[in-house]
Amino acid sequence: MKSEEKRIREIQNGNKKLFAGIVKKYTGMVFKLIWDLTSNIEDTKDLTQETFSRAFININSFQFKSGFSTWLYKIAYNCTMDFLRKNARISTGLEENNFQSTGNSPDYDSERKTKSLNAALSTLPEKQKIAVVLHFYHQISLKEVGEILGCSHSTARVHLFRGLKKLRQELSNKDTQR
Amino acid sequence: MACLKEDEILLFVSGEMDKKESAEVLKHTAECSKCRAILKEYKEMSKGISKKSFPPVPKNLHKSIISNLFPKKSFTITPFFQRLWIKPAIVFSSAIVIFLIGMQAGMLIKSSDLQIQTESVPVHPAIDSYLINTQTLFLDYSNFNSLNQLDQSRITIRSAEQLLEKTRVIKGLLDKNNRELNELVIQIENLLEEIILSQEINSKELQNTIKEELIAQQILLRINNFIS
Repeated sequence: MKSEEKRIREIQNGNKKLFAGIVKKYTGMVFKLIWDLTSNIEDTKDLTQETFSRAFININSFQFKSGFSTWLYKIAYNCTMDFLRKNARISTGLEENNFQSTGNSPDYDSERKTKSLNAALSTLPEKQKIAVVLHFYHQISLKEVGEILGCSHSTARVHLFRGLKKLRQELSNKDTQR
Repeated sequence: MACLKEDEILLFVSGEMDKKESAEVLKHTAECSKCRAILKEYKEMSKGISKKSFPPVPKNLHKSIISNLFPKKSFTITPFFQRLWIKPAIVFSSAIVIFLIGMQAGMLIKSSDLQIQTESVPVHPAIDSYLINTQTLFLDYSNFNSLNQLDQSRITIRSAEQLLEKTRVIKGLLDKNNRELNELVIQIENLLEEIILSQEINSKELQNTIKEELIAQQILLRINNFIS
């Protein structure tokens, strides 16, 4: 049995304190996923907390049918979408989404391109944006992306492809305007 | 061969295409500059997304999440001069100083006048080995200096779990009126819980573990003084 599976089974059997290790391992990834949807630090911190609280309360409903990270991402996604719907707020991300890339790729290393990409990503509808980020940044398979978004593998693929096409369009529009 | 459809290029870029079809895409793009340019655009885009920038994750976010999930019972590290043991320690040292001055001045003080009344503490027979084991544990805990010692840290965490159970047994045996000793044992209990919660010790936490070890050794010494 893998160590994470063993740990989760122990938590389900009552050794709740082991959940701290889960929090430590996944805080960064959950934070980044939520950030992509809210683009607001305080909301992201609160929703990261809320995600782990929900996961902690519902840990016994995790049945090892998917990866634990997929299950956790799904909670984070639902939690954030609930929050956004409740507050009738859709993120634009344009104001705060201009962080320096740590990458050093010869193809995509310029700050201008990074900013353009972040800005273009923020214009995508939520599901398309999350499909793109989950697949290419978090390296999650499209089948699992479907589980997180609550749709089939082929629908997840449609979201991804539409997102990529729209991104390409946005970026080429920006290049033309320049 | 006809040009590739955009969705075929996307299937290739997203890794959803099988080997045979992928080979065909590569073969075609080697010959067709138009499709090659589109493929290049999407490849650069996916590479850019994989290096996407994020704001830094707040440093203590995971700690605040953990402390909200597991609220602490009573343990706080109080400033030095507010600690419970400081006042009796000052009174005791003052008494020693006065005694020495008195001796030097030739004053006759009967030793019986200076007898210190210690509170009686019911001691569990296994408490000595418990104290030694706990001291060793905290020492081991503070000695981790790299992620390569994860196996060792896991052993320590298991020992901490066993010692936590023993600490709780000992706590149950203590005289409830002896507030200071009860408080000390609760502090050890909380420090053991901290070790168990930490799960894996990394180099960033090393400074904290050393501090915790020093605090723990002081507390254990005081517990030892109480019972000896």
